[in-house]
Amino acid sequence: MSVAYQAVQWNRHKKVYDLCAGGALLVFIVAFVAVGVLLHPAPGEVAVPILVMRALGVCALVLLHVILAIGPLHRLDARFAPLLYNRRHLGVLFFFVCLLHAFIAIGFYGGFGVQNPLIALLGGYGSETLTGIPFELFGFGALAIFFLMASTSHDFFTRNLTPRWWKLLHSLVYVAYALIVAHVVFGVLQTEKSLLLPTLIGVGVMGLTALHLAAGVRENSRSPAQGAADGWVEVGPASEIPEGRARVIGLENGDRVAVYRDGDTVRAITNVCPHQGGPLGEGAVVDGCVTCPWHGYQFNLEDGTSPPPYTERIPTYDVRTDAGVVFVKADANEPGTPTQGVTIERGGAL
Amino acid sequence: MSELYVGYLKTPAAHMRVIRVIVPLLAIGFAMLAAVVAGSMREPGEAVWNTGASQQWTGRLIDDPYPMLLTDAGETLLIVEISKVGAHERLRLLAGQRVTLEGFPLERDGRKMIELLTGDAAFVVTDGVAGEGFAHAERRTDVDVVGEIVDGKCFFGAMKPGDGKGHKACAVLCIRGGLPPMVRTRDLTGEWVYPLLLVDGSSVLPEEVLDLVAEPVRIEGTLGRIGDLWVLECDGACVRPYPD
Ligand code: HEM
Ligand code: FES
Repeated sequence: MSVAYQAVQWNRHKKVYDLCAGGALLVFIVAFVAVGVLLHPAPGEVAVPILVMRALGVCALVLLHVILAIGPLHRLDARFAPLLYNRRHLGVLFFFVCLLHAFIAIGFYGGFGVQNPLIALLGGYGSETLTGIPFELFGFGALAIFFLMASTSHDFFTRNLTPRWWKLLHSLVYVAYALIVAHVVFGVLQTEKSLLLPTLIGVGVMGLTALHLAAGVRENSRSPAQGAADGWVEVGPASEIPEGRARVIGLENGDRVAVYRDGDTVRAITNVCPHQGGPLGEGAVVDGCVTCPWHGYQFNLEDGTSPPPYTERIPTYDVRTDAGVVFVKADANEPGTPTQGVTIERGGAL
Repeated sequence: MSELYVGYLKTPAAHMRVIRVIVPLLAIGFAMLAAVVAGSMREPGEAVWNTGASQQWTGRLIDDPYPMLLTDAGETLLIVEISKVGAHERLRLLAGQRVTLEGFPLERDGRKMIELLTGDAAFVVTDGVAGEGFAHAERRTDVDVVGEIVDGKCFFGAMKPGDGKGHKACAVLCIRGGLPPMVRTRDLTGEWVYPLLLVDGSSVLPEEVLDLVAEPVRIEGTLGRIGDLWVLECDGACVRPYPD
């Protein structure tokens, strides 16, 4: 979207978002440490660094669930869009919470001894038994993935890694999630007898799975893959596309097309936003441009280019109508190719 | 269909309503989650590490099988350095002497340990008559105990909690550094006891036993006493994961 890369593109929403996220994080850590200290009030009854380390660990786990839930929630209900808008900052914040947790664990449990702290904590022990598995290694693996994600989160990388690689890299979050579950199961759950944490984690895993499944089912039922006759795929009656909005259809090759109506013209573009893969078909025409629902990148419907000074280009698709029914050509045009579109009569029918 | 939310434009009313509900809900949820998880943590146990004021103890210094002071008051106090290091090096030449030591007490369930001050002021030889520098465990009986190997210093108060899986890496590091391996187990009356563990006569544990630190283990060996300190002696093969 931007011509020159900036560190971060700030606006009021992002600032408010970050303030809320930071505030929630502080509330969490303070509440955790306060309860820990109040329950064990004798001086030094619990070691404060350990308490803070554990607070940060649990906080990171909760944040991870929130981050992973935002995507499918927005799929299911577009009113969650404001949560999604600045999810990236939430991700980076989350990474720093993890980092601090690991830093304290390494320093406190691995430090003050006769070995390098990192070696002492991560490589310093092992055991033949299942209960003896060094759970810190799982945490370390997850942290490495989060580091990669946080450090490539800037738009610079989205562009230069190509969307495909970027998406692949960022799908590793699910591997990291599994590693974190293992980190907790082979770590703290081996000593803590309370059933609260295992219950919460079970609820978390099941909740996230259910949300992702529901969102997937919803998306497929909204835009099932259509078979093509002579290379053209049926979209449906033009009258069913709301003004300024799109209808999304799936092609047999897995691509999705957003068929937009702007006034009395219908045109089609790819459903995938080049920024971070947002669903363009769930956006709307704002100021004459298709606007992505995720972060507001904009594209001209006529040729899939971003308005100057921006230089993004996305693939377009040819459309035709037959008795008021819109068809889209199954082959995408090169990004930035102008299309004719079709004109429909006011009221919808041709 | 509702209006589109675009981050850099004014937020539509429908989205605003969701934000007004979800943000406070998340904040309250966060605070409550933090509180219940913190409240569900196990008790760290009552261990005290008083680094506020140092104390002095006088008695005969033993350095074999482990640095300890047999005090005039009849206590057996293990001695360790500050941080995760044993006191063997500094005390070797004083073994068998009557000394006055200065340091910080660590205490748990009535068992005490001394964390020696740094520097030469930490010990004063009280008279020149040297006795034995080693002590044997007496009144030994064969035992078969189930428990957990902990590092004495952390468990006696340097870290809270200082046992369990989360503490394993730290415990292994501490024992490698020369802190005393102790077995957390219950006696016949159900009271916690913490015998010093000697494998093949030494508090330096072989790697295969180190692997089992902070896990449930079963140890077959002999239990005896040096003064009021329990000592559990066994050979390496006799420490096994529990249950097998
Ligand atoms: C190098 C990386 C890491 C190291 C060395 C590490 C180390 C530790 C240690 C020593 C504990 C204490 C276990 C106990 O008290 O029984 C712990 C707990 C925990 N860690 Fe990590 N960790 C790492 C990364 C992570 C990451 C990336 C997360 C992200 C979510 C995480 C989440 C947690 C959680 C949720 C707990 C349980 C806290 C509790 O309930 O007490 N850890 N970790
Ligand atoms: S994905 Fe970010 S604007 Fe489309």
